[in-house]
Amino acid sequence: MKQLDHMLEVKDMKTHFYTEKGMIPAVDGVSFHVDEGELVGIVGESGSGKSVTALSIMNLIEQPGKIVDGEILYNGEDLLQVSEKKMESIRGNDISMIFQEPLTSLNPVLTIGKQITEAIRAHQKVSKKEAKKQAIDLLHRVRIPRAESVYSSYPHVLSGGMRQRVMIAIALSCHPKLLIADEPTTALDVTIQAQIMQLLKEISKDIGAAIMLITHDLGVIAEMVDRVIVMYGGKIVEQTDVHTLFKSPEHPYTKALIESTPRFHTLEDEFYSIQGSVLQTHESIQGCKYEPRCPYAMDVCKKEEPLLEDMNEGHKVRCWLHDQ
Amino acid sequence: MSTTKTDEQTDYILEVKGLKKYFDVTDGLFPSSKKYLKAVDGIDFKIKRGETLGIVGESGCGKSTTGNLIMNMLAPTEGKIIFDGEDIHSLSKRQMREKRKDIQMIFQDPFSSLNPRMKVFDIIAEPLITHKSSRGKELQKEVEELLEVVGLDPSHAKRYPHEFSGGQRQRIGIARAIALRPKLIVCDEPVSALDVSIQSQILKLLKKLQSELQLTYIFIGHALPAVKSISDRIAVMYLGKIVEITTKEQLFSSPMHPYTEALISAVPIPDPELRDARKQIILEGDIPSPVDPPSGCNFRTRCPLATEKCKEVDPKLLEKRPGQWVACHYALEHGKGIITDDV
Repeated sequence: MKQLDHMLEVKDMKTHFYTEKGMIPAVDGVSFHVDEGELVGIVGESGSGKSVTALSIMNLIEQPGKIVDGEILYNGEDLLQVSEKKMESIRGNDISMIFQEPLTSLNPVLTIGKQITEAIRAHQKVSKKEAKKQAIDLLHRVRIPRAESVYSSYPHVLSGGMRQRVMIAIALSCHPKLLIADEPTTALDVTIQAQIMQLLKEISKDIGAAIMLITHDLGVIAEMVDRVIVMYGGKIVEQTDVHTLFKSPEHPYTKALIESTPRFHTLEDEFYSIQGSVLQTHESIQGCKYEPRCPYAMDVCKKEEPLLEDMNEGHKVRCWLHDQ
Repeated sequence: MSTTKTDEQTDYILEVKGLKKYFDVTDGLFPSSKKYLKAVDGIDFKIKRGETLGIVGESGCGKSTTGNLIMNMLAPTEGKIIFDGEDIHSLSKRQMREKRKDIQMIFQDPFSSLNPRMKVFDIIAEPLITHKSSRGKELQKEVEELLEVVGLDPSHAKRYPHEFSGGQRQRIGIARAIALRPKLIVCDEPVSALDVSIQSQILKLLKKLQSELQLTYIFIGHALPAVKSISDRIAVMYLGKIVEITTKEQLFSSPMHPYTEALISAVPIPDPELRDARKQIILEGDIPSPVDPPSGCNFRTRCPLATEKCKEVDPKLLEKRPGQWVACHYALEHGKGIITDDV
C-alpha cells in the first residue's frame, strides 16, 4: 500500500533510553499515521511507551533518551532530519502539545496573558496589541469565563481545569494542524474532565485540527476518538477503528484491557483481571512482550516476537494466534 | 445482590453522627477575621456489619478527611463516631490502642505508605509483634500465611518494598492491614495509583478477603467505576456534605440528587456505540473553595435546577425514597441513570 498523503507518518520509530540499568527500549519500532482532522487515540498502561511516542514526535526527548531509528514524516518531510530552527517553527505552528499537569507546564511567575502573547508573537509577526486581542479571543474560545481578568492573572490562582484550558489556548495560538494531548484529563476531577473532553471535541470540529490523544483510560478513548492504537511494552499490539476495537478486539491484551475496565453502565460487576504485573521496562523479553501474562501463550510466543500484521482493512494485530 | 433491611435490629458496626471537621486557615496577618476550611461539615451515616460503604466525590469533598476521622488520626470539631457501641474519640489512649486492632486502613500510594528501609517481613510482622506479642516461629508462620492469602510468594518476605510492582506493594499493604483480623478496614483510594489491569486484581482480592474474614469496608474513591464495583451502598459527597446515600442499585438506576446524576454522567463509558446515543450532563464551572462555600445549598452554583430557595435554605439529608437519602429541595426523579440493562 502506498500512501503518500498522510499528514503525519511515523515509520519504525525507536526511542531508547541508556540508563545505569542498561538500555531501555521505551519505544521499539512503532509505525502509524495520522490524517488531517482525524482523532487518533493511543492507549496503554504505564511503561507502554505511549508518552515517549508523543515526545519523540515533538522531538522533545532528552538525555539519556535518544531516537535511534525510524522516520517521522510530517507532510512528507522527515522531522528527524530538519534543523532545530525549523523544528521550533513546526512546534506550535503545525504541531502542538498539551500535557497531563498544566501547573508544571505553565510558568508560575508570568501572567496568563504574557504566556499566551509570547506564544503568539514567537510564531507570528503581530503587534503587542494585536497579540492581546488574539489571546483574549483564544481564552473565549476555550470557554474561560471573565477572560479579561484571567488574562492578567497568574497560573496559581486558577483551578486545574482552568489551567488546562489555558494550556489548550496556548496550544491553539498558532492554529496547529495536529494537537497531541498527553493524558490531558488524568489529573482532573471527573466533572471537569467531561468539560475538557467536550472542549477538545468542539475544537477539532471548529478548526479541523487532528488530535492525537494519549490515555490509559479506555472510557476516554471510546468517547473521543475515531481510530485506536494499543501499545504494550514499547510496541503497537493492535490498531483499528474504535468500533471494531470494542466489538471485536483481537489481541489478548486488548481483550483483557477491555474486560478489566469496570462495566460501569451495567449492573453486573463480574470483573476480569489480567494476571501478573505490567511489564517493567528493563525486563528484556525475547519473544512476545505480553507472553508472560497471556493466557493463550504458546511455545512460539516465548521464542519469537510476532509481527504487526493486517487482519482486515485497517485492522492490524501483533499476535501469533492470528498467524494461522 | 444486597438486600435492604429496614428493621431496627440491623447490626451497625459504625455510626457517624453530625461529624464536622474544620481546619483553621486564618491569615496570619489578620488574625481577627477567623477563616475555616470546612472539610467535613456535618455528616451522618451508618454501616452494617459485613457491608461495603463507598464514599465518592471530587477533590475537596471531604472524603479522605472522613476516613482519617474514623481512623482517629484527626480529632473531630464536632460529632461522634460510634464503633461497636463506643465513641472512639472519647476513649483513653490505652483503650484506643485496643480498638486499633479492629480498625485498619489501606492507603492510596503503595509507594509511600511502606517504609522503604524495612523488609516485607518486618512490615507485616510489626502489628503482630506490637499487638499480639507474636514471636519466633509462630510469627514467621503468621507472616507467611498472610503473604499467601494476599497472593504473594512467602519467599518474598526477605525483600524490600522497592523490589515490588505497584500492585504487589498494595498487596503488602493489605496483608499488614488484615494481620490483626480487624473488623473494619478504611480503604482510602486503594486502587487509584494502579493501572487498570492491576486495579481489578486488587478489587477482586478485597472482595475475596471480605467474605473470608467477614470484613466491613469503607471504600473511599474519586473514581465511580471502582467504587461501584465493590460497594453495597454509596455515599456521594460534595464540599464537606453527603448529598445522597443509598444502595448501589438505586444510585445508578435512579439517582435523585442532580450532582449524583451529573457525576455518573461525566464518567466516560467504554463503549463507542453509546457515544452519541447518550446525553451527557456537563456541569458548568468549578468546584467552589471549601473555605468559602456558597450560601444555602453547596451545589447551587453549578446546579441546573437551582432556584432562590437553594440560595437561602441548606437542604437536609432526608429519606426521599425507602433507603435513599437525598439533600436536595428538588430531589425528584428527574434522572433515569445510565444503566442500560433491565434491572
